[in-house]
Amino acid sequence: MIKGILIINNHGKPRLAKFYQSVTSEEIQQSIIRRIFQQVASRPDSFCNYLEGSIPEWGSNIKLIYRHYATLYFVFAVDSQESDLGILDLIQVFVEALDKCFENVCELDLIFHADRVHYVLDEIVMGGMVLETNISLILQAIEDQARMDKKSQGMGNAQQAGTETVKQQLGAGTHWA
Amino acid sequence: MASQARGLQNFISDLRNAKSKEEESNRVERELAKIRRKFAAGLSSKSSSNDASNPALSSYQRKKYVWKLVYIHVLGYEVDFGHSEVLMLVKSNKFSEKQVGYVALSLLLRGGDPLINTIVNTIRSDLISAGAPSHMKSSVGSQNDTTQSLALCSIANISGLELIQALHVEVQHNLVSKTSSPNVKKKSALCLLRLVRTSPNLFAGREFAPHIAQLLQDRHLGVLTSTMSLLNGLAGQHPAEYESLIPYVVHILGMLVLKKACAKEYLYYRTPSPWLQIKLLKFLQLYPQALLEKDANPSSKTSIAQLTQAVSKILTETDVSDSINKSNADHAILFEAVNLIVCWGSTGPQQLREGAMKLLGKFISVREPNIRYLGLMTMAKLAQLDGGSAEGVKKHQATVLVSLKDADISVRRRALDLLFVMCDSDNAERIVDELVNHLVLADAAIREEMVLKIAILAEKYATDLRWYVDTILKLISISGDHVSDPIWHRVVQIVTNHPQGDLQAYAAATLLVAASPRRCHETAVRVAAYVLGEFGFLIAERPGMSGEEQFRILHQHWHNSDATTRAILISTYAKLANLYEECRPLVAPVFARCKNSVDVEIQQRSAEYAAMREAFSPEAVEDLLREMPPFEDKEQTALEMRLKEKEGEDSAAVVKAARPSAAQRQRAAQAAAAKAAEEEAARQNDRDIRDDSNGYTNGKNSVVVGIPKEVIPAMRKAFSNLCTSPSGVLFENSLLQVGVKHEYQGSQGRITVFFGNLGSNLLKHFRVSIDDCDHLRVQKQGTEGLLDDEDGGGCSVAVRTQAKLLLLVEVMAPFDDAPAMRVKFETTEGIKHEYPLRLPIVATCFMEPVILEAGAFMQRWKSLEGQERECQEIVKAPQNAPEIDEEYMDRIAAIITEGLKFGRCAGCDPTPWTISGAATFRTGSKDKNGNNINVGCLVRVEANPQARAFRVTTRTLHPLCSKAVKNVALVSIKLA
Repeated sequence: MIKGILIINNHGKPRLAKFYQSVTSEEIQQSIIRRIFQQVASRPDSFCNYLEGSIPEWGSNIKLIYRHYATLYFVFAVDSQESDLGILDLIQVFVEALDKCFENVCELDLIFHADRVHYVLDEIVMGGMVLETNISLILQAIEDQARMDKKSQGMGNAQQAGTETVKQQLGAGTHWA
Repeated sequence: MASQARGLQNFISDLRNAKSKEEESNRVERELAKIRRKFAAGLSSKSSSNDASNPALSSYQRKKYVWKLVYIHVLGYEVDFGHSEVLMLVKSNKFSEKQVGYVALSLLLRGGDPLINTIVNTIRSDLISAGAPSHMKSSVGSQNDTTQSLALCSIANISGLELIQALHVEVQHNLVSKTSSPNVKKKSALCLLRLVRTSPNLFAGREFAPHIAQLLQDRHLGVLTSTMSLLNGLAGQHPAEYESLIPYVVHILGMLVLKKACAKEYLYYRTPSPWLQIKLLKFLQLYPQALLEKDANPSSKTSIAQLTQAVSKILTETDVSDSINKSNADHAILFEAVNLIVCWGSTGPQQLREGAMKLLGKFISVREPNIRYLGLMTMAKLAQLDGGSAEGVKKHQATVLVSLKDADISVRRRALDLLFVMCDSDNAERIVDELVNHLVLADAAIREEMVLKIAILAEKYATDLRWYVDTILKLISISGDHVSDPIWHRVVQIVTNHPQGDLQAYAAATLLVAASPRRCHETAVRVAAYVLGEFGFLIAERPGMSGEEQFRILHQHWHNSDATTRAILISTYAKLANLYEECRPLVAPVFARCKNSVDVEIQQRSAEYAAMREAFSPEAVEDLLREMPPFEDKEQTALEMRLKEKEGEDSAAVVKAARPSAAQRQRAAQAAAAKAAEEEAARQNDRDIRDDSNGYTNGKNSVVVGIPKEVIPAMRKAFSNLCTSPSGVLFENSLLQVGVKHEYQGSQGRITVFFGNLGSNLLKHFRVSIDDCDHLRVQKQGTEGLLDDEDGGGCSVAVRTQAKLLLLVEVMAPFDDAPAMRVKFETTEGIKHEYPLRLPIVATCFMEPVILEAGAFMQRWKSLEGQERECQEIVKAPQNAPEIDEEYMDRIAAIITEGLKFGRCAGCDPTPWTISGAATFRTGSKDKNGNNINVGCLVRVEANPQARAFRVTTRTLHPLCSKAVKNVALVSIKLA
């Protein structure tokens, strides 16, 4: 199963942290994130995407499968039951889904729309298990939710925050794949 | 799409603009305080309970604050309030609130949280909120459907025990209900899987399998994928209960692989749903016997045919693609197919195994790191199969060695693992040598693992255990810090448990040499100390390895040793002191000092050892210091356990380590046979049990009695005496006496050895062998049969008679060793004896005295100055010796002139306290001009009567001569 999913930027700041095998405290979570970042960040991109990391909180034999896109590391910590290349593809699916959802996703989207990132991830991985890998179905589910959301809010008192103005192209987007 | 509140945006922007960690945490604290105030506002007036939410908050505000809490939580700050607001949102009827509530719920609450109980009913009603089937079909994503999904997702993410107990029935119902939408089915399947993982045996497999069969016929690939996840989880726990589902799974695999039937949106880079294929293949790996036809049922036959066809198609038709994502997906399937082939082992078709091996051979030589990494990993699995595959893997040894030097540690680890798995008796030496060589360069991250694996391999595949001892010593010298205690403990165990051959003597000698340099790793000192304490006596005859020298070499490390090492050293010292009288004065002060040690263990050991001699009878002391009995052979060694700890149960390396190798089985069989024979012999020979209690075995179903430890000190003394006297007794016990008479002329010598039967019975098959050595040319002549070294040969020596051996020797080169002689015989009871002895033919036997004038002596003395040519050592007079006076010095002088055959150069000795001598060492070798090669030797003994010590200095033209003369001089002075 997938024990945890992290998105960490090049400076080690977590942009998303999802722990499917929960750990007891925020402190330990942060220490796990730090350790994972240290292990992953020291590897040049020419290395393989697998690292037999050591995260004792999740038991022995945890493998870190990660991809590095521009400013972000997408790290999946999995046990030996998962297919190594399958998870690599899953990261790609996750990124492509985010890309479609945000139209050229960049780090700022993940910061200011953490909610949507969570909704997308929840459609792909659930409780540490792969739920759906079909991008159009994933997006469909997200859109359904959004429609329901609007409907339930009536006229939608939401305000489109000025993120568009701050949004920058951080090397992400079409070049992601 | 869902949008967010401006307040939240501002808060995030503030945090991003924070210049320091402090500023950020201040901002967070401020925000937390504000939210706490907002949430609590309604409390004071309305209720005293802290759990209640503030009804005054608007929906917008509540969502906003909860999102802020979630954001703060993700940043790593503790959020210990607001849970009731989250619950409030979950309970809401508005979808927008519910959605936020559920996401926050799964992030902020953990399984055991008691608050969960208050929300169980809400979740349940959300779970069963499915509308009427008719309206479900038409409307995509009705509110109820989506709400169900949210609830399922939350249950899966939280997965607390209470939730499971309360809700698993509803989840099951959602999964199997015909009215559930695909989305709900998918989520229910995974949710159920999560619940089953947390709480196995939630329901009986036999009853549930038909439901799964139903689901496996669903046309929706998403539902199939989730169902397969659930099935893999269930079948992993109880494979037998789901075996009936194999045909369904094979059918789906056939559709995807053979017919490429797949909805367009499930094509991932043109490959039909790779995730589903992987899951199908993983499920099949649970049934390694699937290909065996159990019944003649035609449908099962088709199923098997379809399966092999599909696997073979995956194997042969996967091609390298330009798109990395396409290639990843295809290879993911391919690797899973190979795993399945590995799983089938020899029950699978041969050509599939060969095809897999060929592919993997290609993969491990590509540049692309992911494929190479996975290739190495999968090949390690394939290599474990019996028959054929292991041979195929060996062909790739060179390629694997290249990956061992890769820059990427993940790749290196896999290469190491594969090398470990592919190792067997044929290639062990090469692989272990390569690994040891690589260890020098390897970085710290992988060293411990390498050391552990090398140690296991060396033990497993050693055809000669001396190689094993050498390998571990190399590990200690290269990477001593990573040689854990279990590794060196294992060396001790193996050396102790294998008395056959000369392993114990070899280990003792090698370790003594290893510990000789002033700087050596502490682990080396520990092993050396332990092994010398047990088996040092086996080598005490060898020059430079006497008990005293063993003590000196070990004790030089005392000051740099920690308490553990010192404790081992103390026990070794006690054993040395027991065997060698001359060690006692050296050991006593160490014990005396340690009695005040702060370390309790050291204090106790030294106090006990020091007092032992007075407190107990000599027999009891002997008993206390006897060698340790052989160690019990455990099913699993400490090394294997360590490996398992590091790599987990199902690692290829662990499986391999647990399987005994041919070499190990052979050793175990030998040991068992030896033990049985020993017991047999003990039964036969309980009359004379003392003689063979120290016996050792040669592994050929018979017990061989060696030299009892008790006679060793006397034997050493006899040997030393004989080095400087023309005749005497070399060895004596209740059965046999060995006497030696030897005389020399220049480079030639004539040695007569007598073997007298002292017992009351005939000694049968009496044989003597003398090891060849390069520096001596030996002619042998003996009583008939005496030199016949075959089993069953030899002569008989009757009671009170002697066998005789005559040796004519000529020395060809300087040397510092004494030739070894092995005496073997059998008593009438059939007990075999074998005594390794040494002939007292030492360098000084071939000296011719030279008398030099003082001037000439000093001139040569100075010309021979230099490290190589000079040897010097200080020796204490024996404790019981009288004062060093002129009479004493005369005796020493007599030893130098008569024993060592040096000419006294009295002109150089103005006081009685020095003795100078000169001699020529004659050899039978010729130089270019046809003259015999001779070596000039000088010796000086200087006495220090106050310190009761002598300093011996030798200078000769040849380093070996210097050493040899010094050694003989030292032991002779000690015996004077």
